[in-house]
Amino acid sequence: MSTRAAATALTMVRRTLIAVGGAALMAAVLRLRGTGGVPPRSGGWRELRAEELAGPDAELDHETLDDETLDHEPPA
Amino acid sequence: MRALVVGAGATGARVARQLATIDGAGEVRLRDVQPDRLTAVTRSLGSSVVGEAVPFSGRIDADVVILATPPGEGIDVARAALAAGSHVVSLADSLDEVEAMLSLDGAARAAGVSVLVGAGFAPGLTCLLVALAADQVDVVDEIHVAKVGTGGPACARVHHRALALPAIEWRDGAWLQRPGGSGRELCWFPDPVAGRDCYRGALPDPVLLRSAFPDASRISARMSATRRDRLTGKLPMLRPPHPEGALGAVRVEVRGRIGGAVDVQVLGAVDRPAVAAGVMAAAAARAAVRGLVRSPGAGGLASMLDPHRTLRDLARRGVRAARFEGHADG
Repeated sequence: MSTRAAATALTMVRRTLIAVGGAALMAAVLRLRGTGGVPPRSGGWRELRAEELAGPDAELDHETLDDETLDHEPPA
Repeated sequence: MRALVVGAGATGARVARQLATIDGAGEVRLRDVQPDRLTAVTRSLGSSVVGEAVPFSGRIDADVVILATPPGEGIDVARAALAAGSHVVSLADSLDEVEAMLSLDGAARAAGVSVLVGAGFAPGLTCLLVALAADQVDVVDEIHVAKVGTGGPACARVHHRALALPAIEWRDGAWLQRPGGSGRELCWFPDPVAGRDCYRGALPDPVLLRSAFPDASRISARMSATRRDRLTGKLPMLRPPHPEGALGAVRVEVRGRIGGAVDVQVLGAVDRPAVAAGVMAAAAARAAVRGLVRSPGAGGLASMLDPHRTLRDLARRGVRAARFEGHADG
């Protein structure tokens, strides 16, 4: 292989490596960043009411949310 | 009630505490392979809990066995429990462990007992919330579950691995495998957790919910993750996990129809995952012993327990569910 041909091949290899590296870097950035923005939200959360937890057995169960809440570790 | 709790980690200790000090269970035994941890936990719970250190007795003499063990360590104990005619409550949160527990269905039916699988925060509370939300609609079309946070170190390791493993989703009558860590979606959890980016992961909720809601066309689960979680998901954990995770949350979205109209139910809860899982598992154990499980066999909580009664029980113990009212895309 002549010196000129070898230089051309090396240039091709270098350009290929740069292209692959650039694509990988771009893919990594996109994967980490994700896409899209913050979706709209209107409304909020409220605790479930006792009647929402009253199933078919409610009368038999005699347990309501108004009972004293039993011991529970508080959220951190 | 005679209960055997296997595993004295962040969640197992909470289960034992719930059963012994709050429910006043007749006999609570606690097993762990680490003598120092076992001694510390049993000492903190007083005389109400009896510790069992290695070597364990091969015989299981309990009405219910609660498995709060790392993945892979519970299945043999579950088989032994079924052979002894005991109910089993498993806090398994890895996909493989849940599938292994579900495979005990035949043995459980033969023994006339139940194996309540995934009886923790997520899965567990998530399954009950889905069942409650599904009760509000005539037809369930889609179920989407999301979670934030972890309990003890074993839970954190499962969470870490879940991002690197393929996720499974039920879509139009078939299971699909999707890459873990893909499918970013901003999910709104109850305050103060609020909005978090959630991704697919190897989570067991779809497997547990599929049998309870066979007509749903889509069932998916996502987990909250940071950029670092996703970047390092395929690597071993770079540092040991915390003894216990911080505040966590779950959120379920059930899309269905009432009459001909489309309806979306969004329910959630916020708590420390290990604490809520302990309460959930204790409630499941109590339900199993009291004969409140729908039928013998192995299954998730959505198909095995009455969501109304169980969520009332949890609420009395401080684990309260919430409903999102309004409009949230994501």
